[in-house]
Amino acid sequence: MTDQPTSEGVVHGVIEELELAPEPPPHGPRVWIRENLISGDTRVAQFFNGLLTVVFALIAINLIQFITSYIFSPERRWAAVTHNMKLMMVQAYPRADLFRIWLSIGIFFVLVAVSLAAWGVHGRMSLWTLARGLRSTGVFLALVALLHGAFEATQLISLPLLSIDSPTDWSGTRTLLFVIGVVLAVGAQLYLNRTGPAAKQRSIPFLSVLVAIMAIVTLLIWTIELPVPEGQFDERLAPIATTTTIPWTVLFLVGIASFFLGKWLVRVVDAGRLRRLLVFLWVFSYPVIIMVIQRKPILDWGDLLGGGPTPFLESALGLFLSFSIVGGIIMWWVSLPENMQLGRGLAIALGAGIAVFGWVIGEAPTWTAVIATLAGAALIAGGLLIQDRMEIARVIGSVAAVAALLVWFIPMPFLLRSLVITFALVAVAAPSFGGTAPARIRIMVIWVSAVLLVIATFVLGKAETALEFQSTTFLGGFNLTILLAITGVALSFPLGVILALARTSTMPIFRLISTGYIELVRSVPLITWLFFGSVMLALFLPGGVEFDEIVRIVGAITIFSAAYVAENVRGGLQSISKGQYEAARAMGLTTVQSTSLIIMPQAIRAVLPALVGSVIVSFKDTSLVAIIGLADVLLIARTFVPTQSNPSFLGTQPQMVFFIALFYWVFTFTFSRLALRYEKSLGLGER
Amino acid sequence: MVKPLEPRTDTSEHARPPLWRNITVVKWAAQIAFLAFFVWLFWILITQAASNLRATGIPFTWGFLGEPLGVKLGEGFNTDPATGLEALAVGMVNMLRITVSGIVAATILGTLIGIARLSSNWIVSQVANAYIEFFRNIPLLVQIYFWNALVVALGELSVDDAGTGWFFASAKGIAIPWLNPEAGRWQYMALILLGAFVARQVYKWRVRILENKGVETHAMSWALVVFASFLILGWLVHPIMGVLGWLWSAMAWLFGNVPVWIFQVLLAALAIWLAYRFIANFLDERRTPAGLAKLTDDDYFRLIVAGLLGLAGALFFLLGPGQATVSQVLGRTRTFQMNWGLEPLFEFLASKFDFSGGAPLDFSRPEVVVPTRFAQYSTEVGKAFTPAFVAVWVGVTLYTAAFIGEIVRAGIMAVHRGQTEAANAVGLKRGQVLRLVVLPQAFRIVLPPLGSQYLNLAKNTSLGIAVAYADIVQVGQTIYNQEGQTLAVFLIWMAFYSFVSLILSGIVNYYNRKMQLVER
Repeated sequence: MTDQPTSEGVVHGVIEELELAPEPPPHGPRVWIRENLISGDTRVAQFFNGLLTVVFALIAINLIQFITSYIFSPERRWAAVTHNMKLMMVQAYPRADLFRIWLSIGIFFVLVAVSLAAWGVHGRMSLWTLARGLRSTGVFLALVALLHGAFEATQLISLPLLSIDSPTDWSGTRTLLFVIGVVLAVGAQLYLNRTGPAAKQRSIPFLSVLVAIMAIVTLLIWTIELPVPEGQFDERLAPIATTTTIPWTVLFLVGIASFFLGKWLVRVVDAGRLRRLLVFLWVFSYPVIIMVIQRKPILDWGDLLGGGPTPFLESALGLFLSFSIVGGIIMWWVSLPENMQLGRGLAIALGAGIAVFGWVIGEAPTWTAVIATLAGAALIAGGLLIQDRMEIARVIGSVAAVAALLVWFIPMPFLLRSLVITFALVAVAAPSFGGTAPARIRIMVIWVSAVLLVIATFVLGKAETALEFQSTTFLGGFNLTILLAITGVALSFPLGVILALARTSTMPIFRLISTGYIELVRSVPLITWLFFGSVMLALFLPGGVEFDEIVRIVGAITIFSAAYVAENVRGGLQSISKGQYEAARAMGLTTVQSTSLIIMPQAIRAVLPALVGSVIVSFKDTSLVAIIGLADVLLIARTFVPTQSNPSFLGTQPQMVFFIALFYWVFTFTFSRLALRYEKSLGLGER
Repeated sequence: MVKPLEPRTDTSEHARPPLWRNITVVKWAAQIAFLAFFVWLFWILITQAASNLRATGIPFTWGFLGEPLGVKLGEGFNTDPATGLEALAVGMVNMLRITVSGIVAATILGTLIGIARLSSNWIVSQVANAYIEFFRNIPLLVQIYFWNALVVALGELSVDDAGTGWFFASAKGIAIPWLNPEAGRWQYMALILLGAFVARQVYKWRVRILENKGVETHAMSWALVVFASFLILGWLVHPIMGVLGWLWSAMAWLFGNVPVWIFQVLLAALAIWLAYRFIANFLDERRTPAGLAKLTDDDYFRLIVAGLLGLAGALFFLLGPGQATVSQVLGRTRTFQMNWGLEPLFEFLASKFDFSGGAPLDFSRPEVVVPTRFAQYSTEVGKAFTPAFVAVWVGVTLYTAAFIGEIVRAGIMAVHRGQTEAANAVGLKRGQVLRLVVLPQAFRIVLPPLGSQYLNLAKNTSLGIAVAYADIVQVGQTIYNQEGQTLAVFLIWMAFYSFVSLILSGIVNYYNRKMQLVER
């Protein structure tokens, strides 16, 4: 071994190490049956085990028969699914603007592909595993095709719903299924026989398996014929429309192209920089997709520049320039090492002062406003005076954060309010992460992009949409499901982390409040929180403040899942040994620094499997919004399609529910398997 | 530009930092400030809600609890409730029915699946695996919709079905044979409870003999025989438990006639005494040689909270508004004495223990009757479950069983391999190894996650609203659609579900403590 180990060599090394266990002598099928189906020490045990095998085989065969006969029964109207696919995916999105949806998916594909390249996913799959998997799939498919109505004798009970069609009906689909199954099984077995144990040594990249699957899917959507309704009650088979097949093919090719683009970029650009850029793009793409691409807002330059009745400083551009320049100067200054301690206090005081200032310009001066301004000025003065007094700075810090949050209840432009809160948050955090020039530049970038993000969200959110919808919202169907899942997770995560920190804090009142929140929220089912968001939230808001129903539901989901995230993160925090805290302290890190740089990363890493599990739960839980009447994929499939879409689909409710169950299952199962694979490859959750 | 630290020359300041640098003071100041903010926030929200309610003209009130609802419920012990409170009670009982029976069924099924998953029999473990992967990855709501659609698709009962049978399944639901309770069931139940107690004592007695003398005493068999004899003999002799009726009458008389202030004083004293005991125990446990100087912020916090709670409890019992509310809620004309409904409770019990004879439970098969043109299940014999009940129960049970299966599997796998090997070496059979060695140890590991699955199941029953199952969520929704009292209904939901969660986690925690390894 004189060669430098390449990355591929390392991977091979890993595989060889894993396979070092002595290879058991090859067994024939008889041995396999004896060991796996009728094993036992005594005759009685063997008989009992064999009986068990027969019973369970009968159960399995019956279940497969039920399912296949349900799917292939001539009474099923699968045209209800294929014909309403667009409805279920995006609800009433205008046909002419569907390219916006494709564009969103395209952005997602490109980001995934480039990220895969940038993070260098080296997962490999041994051909042995692959061949065995293909062999079992083939056997399963062939069995399904054979069993479908073939042996009525094996049927244990008959349900009226599942009338099994005639056993001799070798329709095209069934034959095709059988042939594919046999070809797969025989091919894989031949390969295994030919290469023998050597197959374990060979492996192919996991990504190429993925690409192969996608290529097959692409090929399928060009060739397969699906039922479409014809007349009142008939169906005929027709190929998938090119308006669907072409975009998918293009997306597939774009995905592959961007993977190689990513590979090239990794070689040309610094990998770390590329990854940072990608993280930024991931975060940034989400609001852009929701607010710009899918909504198509009508934007008015006058509104941005503040022409007409709105003065320039209150326009979007004016606010952006003033906040980013003034705020940037302050951030730059407070993150200087020699100003750290003074800066923290000052930044905080300025945050409070600006909060108060926003109060004043939000309304005509009143006595409270004047007093508050004076208090703000006093805070600024205090901030200037408290050099070298960290504790007081922290006290004022909490006061400032509270003050910034208080502007919530003051009538003033919503945008200004959010900017003030953002300023207070960044200003409080900035001194902890300042220091060298690059670090300070990073803070400046974060600050300016935060301002940009807040302003863009508001401007775009308030702009009228140029799309014409038949429904109340431009989000519907599976699109809405995904939005609810992603937004719920993204918002509940920071809240959950804060709650977990508060619950494990040494300060009893924080702990009490956090514990109370978590336990109270968790003790009540999600559906009641959804009712709370949909019916009751308006009660607690000041008059005139109204949120869209989707926003309220996202709020309710966030409230709920934050409590679960908090419990998971708390588990991680408890697994961190005391030595980590002490070491961080010995290094001279502040509490904020040691928590965010030392403790949290380890804690989250330790409980990542549980967090991934809660993401899956969130995805499944989004289906509950169907109960309160949001048109997600479940509501459309179960209610709209069988009752409202087309009179010929009346009574298709059971099969729509069947379809939607499989639909969810495919997503959840795939996601959980990919997550499991990734966790194993990183050795997560095994501390 | 970091200034070097200057050595302190003034040692007198070392002893005590200034107030604003005292970390304890700073922490408490921050907490109190936050608490003030929190309280203020709540106050704002509540006043906002109050003013919004005034503006809409629907003031917050609990009045709907005593008013007629005018809606028939889908199912329950009283489908035509007279008041809102009764309707909610029906909803609560419906929710508890599914929760309790679902927990029992899901535990049994889940344990079997967990064991099957680890079976050496390939096909058994594959079927169990398929079950878990299938049910775990589909949203429960979709599953409930599916079962509901399946039951509805069974087709209506036809007139030809009329008559008695063992099992009926139709769009009207599922009917099975059942033991329907008769008049003597309360007496029988009391006898069974007594039997369980006696059997427990017998078990302890036999175990004591075993431990003292070292001979096999068959403690479990003894206990089972005693319990079974109570079960069988009780069927015939249960009227003797009617003597308890006298006791209940006496209790009812006591609560009806003793002056109220005695109860008030007694309960207030109890609250104070509990708080005192807690504080005294707390201080006793921490009495170290170094004295009590080591008490932390937390400890003081606990002591203060305990003291305040005791005082608050005492004040509540002494000055509490119990009288008006309780009578208003129960819709009685007679003004209640402040005894929290204990008098009617005992009167109710006394009326059930009246020496009535006959079989306490009546086994009967379901029957399809044709009262009008349409056939339906008889309510007199057998037991009929509505489609909504079947959908929710089956959905919740199968869904939870998948998770429990995974938990049981993980628990069994976590039992050290050496335990199985040692048990094999001692000569235990495979069933015995599982029953006596592996499962008891796995149970200890499994219990905490199992408890959280039970809580999930209890909360998941709320999805019954999707198929119009008349549980507390659906009843609550009906009420607020009629009366507009969203806030009150939400508070009731919150209180009820918190209560159920508390009870469930209390039971699980009790067993968890009992099962914990006692370490040195």
